[in-house]
Amino acid sequence: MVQGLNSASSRKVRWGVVVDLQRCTGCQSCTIACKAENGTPPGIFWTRVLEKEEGTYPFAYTVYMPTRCNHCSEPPCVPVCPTGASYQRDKDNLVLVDQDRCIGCHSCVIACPYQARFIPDNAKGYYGEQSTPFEQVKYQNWQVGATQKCTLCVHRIDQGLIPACVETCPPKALVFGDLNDPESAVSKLIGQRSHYQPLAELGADPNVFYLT
Amino acid sequence: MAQGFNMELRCQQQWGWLIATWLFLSGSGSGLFLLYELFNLPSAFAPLSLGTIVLGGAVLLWELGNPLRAWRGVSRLGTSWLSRGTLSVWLFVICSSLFIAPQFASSLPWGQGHAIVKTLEWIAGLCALMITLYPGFSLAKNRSIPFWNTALYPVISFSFALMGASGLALAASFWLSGELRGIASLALVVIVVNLLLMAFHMLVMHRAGGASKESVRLLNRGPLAWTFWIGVVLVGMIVPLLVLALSQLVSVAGTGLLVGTFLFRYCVLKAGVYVPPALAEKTMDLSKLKRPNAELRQEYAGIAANYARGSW
Repeated sequence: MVQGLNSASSRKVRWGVVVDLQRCTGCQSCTIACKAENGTPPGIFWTRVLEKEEGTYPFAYTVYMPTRCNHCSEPPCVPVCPTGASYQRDKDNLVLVDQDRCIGCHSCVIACPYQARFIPDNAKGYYGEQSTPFEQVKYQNWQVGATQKCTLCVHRIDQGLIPACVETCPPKALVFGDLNDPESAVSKLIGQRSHYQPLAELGADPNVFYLT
Repeated sequence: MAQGFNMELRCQQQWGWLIATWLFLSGSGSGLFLLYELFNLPSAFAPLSLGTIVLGGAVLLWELGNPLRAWRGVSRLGTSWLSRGTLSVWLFVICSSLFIAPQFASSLPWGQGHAIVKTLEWIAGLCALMITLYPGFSLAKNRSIPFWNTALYPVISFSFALMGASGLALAASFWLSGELRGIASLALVVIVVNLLLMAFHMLVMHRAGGASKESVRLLNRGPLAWTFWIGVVLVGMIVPLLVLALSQLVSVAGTGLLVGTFLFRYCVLKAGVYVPPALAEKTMDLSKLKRPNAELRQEYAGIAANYARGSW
C-alpha cells in the first residue's frame, strides 16, 4: 500500500496498545481507571470492555474485548471534520480534538468505525445537578456539545507515564509502547504472537493490536 | 453494566429528525433552483428556493453542538465534504440573494440581462448543484457504515433532491401563480428512477450481508418498515405517481412527494448500521477451549446424571 506523507512509518513515534485477549478477564478495571483519570460524564466511556457470549450450555464461555480509540495511522475521523478540530499530532500518531474549534456536527462520531467518539449534551455529574469537586475539576477538560474521545492519556504520555488503563490492568492484558521501536514490548509481542487489528479492512490502520 | 457493551450490530444514533429535515430542505431548495433555471419557472420560485435553503441552514445550526462556531465550518475544504457543502450554501445564499434582489428593488444598479446578473445566476446554479450532491458524498465517505458507503449515494442524493424540488414546485403551485410546464412529467420520471435506484441499492446491500443486510432488514421488516413502505414508497411515490398519471391534482401529488422525500432522508439516516467490532471468535485461536468429543460427552453425561439425582 502506498503510504502518504503523514503515514505511520514517517513519524518518529507511533504509540500503540497491545491487548492480550487470553489475559483479559473482563474486570472493567480499565473502564474505571479511565473514568477516574479523565472524569468523563455519565454514559460516556472512552475505554470499555465488550463482551460476547459464545457456545451453548453447558459449554458456554465469554469472550472479552477491551476497546478504545485506536489512534489510527489513517484516521477516518480527521478528514471529515469541517473545522480542523479533529487532528493528528505531528510528532506522533495521537488523534486529538481541539475543544475550542469543535462545532459538534457529529461527522467524526459517525465516521469512527470503532464508535469511540462522544458528544455530551450536558455537564451533569453522576450525583444529580450538583457536580462533585472531582467533577468540577475534571469537567474543565472538555466542553458540552464538542466531541470528546480517548486521548491515550496524552497528558500522562507527555510526562513520561503510561496511560491509566494500561497501568491499572490487573492481569496485564494491556501493553503500551512505541510501535516504530522494534525493541519495544509492543513490537516484540506483535512479532511473537498471532494478532489482528480490528476492522483493518476499513483501511484506517489502527494502532491497537489484539493478541489471540 | 457490561451487558450494554455486547458486540452486536448497532445503528448510528447521532443523526435523526433534525439532520433529515436539513437534508430535505437544503436538497429540495437547491433542486428547486435548478428546476427554476432549467424549466423557466415563474420568478416567485427563486425566492422560495432561497428561503427553503436558509430554513434548512437554520435547522442545521439548531442541531450543532456549538452553533456559534459554525463559521469555522469552511476550514477544511481540502478533505471535508461538509466544509465544501457549507461553502456552497454560503455562496448560494449570497449570489441568489443578489440575483433575486432586482425582483423586489428595481432601483438596484444591476437588473435583468445585466452581465453581473448572469454571472450571479451561473454561480448560484452551480452551488445549487453542489448542494444537491454533497450530502451524498458526505454519507458515502463513511466506511464505517456500509449502507451509505457506496458510489450510488451522490446519485441517490441528487435524484431525491429533484423529487423534493418537484414536490415543492407542484405543492407551491396551489399558492403561487404561473405555469409549471414539464414539472409534472419530470416528477413522473424522477419517481420511477428513484424507485429503481432504491430497489437496486437495497438488493445490492442485502446481498452484501453483514451490516448492509441489517440496514435493509431495518427498512423491510424492522422498526423503520412502516415509515419506509407506507411513508416513502406508498404515500411518497406510488400515490403521487398515480395522481399525476390519472388526474390534475398536482398540489396533492406535490405534497405526497415532499412527504416521501423527507421520510426517505430520515429512513436512510436511521438505517445506518455500523460494521460491528471484529468478532473475536473468527480470529481467536479457540482450539484450547475445544476438547475432544468423547471428553465432552463424558462431562455432559456427568451433568445429566447430577440432574437425574437432583443433586444440583
